[in-house]
Amino acid sequence: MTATIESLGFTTAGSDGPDESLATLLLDFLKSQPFLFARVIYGDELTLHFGDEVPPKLPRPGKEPAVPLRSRGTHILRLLTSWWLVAGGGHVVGYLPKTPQPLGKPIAVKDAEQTVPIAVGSTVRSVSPIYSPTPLGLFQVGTRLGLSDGSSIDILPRQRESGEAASEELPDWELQLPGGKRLEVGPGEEFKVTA
Amino acid sequence: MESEQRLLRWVVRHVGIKDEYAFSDYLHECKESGDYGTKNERGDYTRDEMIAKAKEYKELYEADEEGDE
Repeated sequence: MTATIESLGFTTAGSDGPDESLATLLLDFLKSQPFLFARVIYGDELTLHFGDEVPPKLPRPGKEPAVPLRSRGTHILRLLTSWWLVAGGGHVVGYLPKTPQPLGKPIAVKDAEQTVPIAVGSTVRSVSPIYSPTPLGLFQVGTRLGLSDGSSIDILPRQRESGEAASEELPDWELQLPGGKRLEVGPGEEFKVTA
Repeated sequence: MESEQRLLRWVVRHVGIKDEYAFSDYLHECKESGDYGTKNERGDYTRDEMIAKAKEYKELYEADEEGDE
């Protein structure tokens, strides 16, 4: 039997968690942007690319890099925390490094590029928050993105070990936007848009 | 994972990399091509190795952008 995120201690919209202005902001940023591809970057970090495909930056004239850069999307969702991708038909892939009971069969991050169960061109239709209460009564904040092909992306809030301090430098997840703008979420309930 | 991300973000600020995503992708591709770091069995880069890669990346891709702002 497959567990649900609720059975793992997460709560979804309708809880007493932070207000839903984050969901409104995310939907505003991502609505109508088509899904392009998933990509793993350094640090075993999964990125999901939306929007228009941007050709890779070229090296300076006369310079020959050992490795070329790759193309990217205009909107890049960086999942620095746990995540779960669910296809419309129920196929699930996910990464839950510290959650003891998996929701289904977890996969290695490096395999996510090939196994992402989201149809290319699908667009984000809905956004709802996912929360993880902490012992101090605060919340870690994730989100569920519903896509037009029936699939969903769950960004699960970081569940920290007892006594583990949050990184002061890192958000739990973020959305990079055109023009160098970035939505950073976490640690905790905080989120901000930086230029 | 988180420690690598924290180190990477520190190096980005320390060296003055403008495009953090592109640099992260460059590091990943360097590892994939066999240019492993020496930090641990996964081939992650040490701080000094990552700084060197950041300077290499900056020289390749961002040197012309200096003084643009």
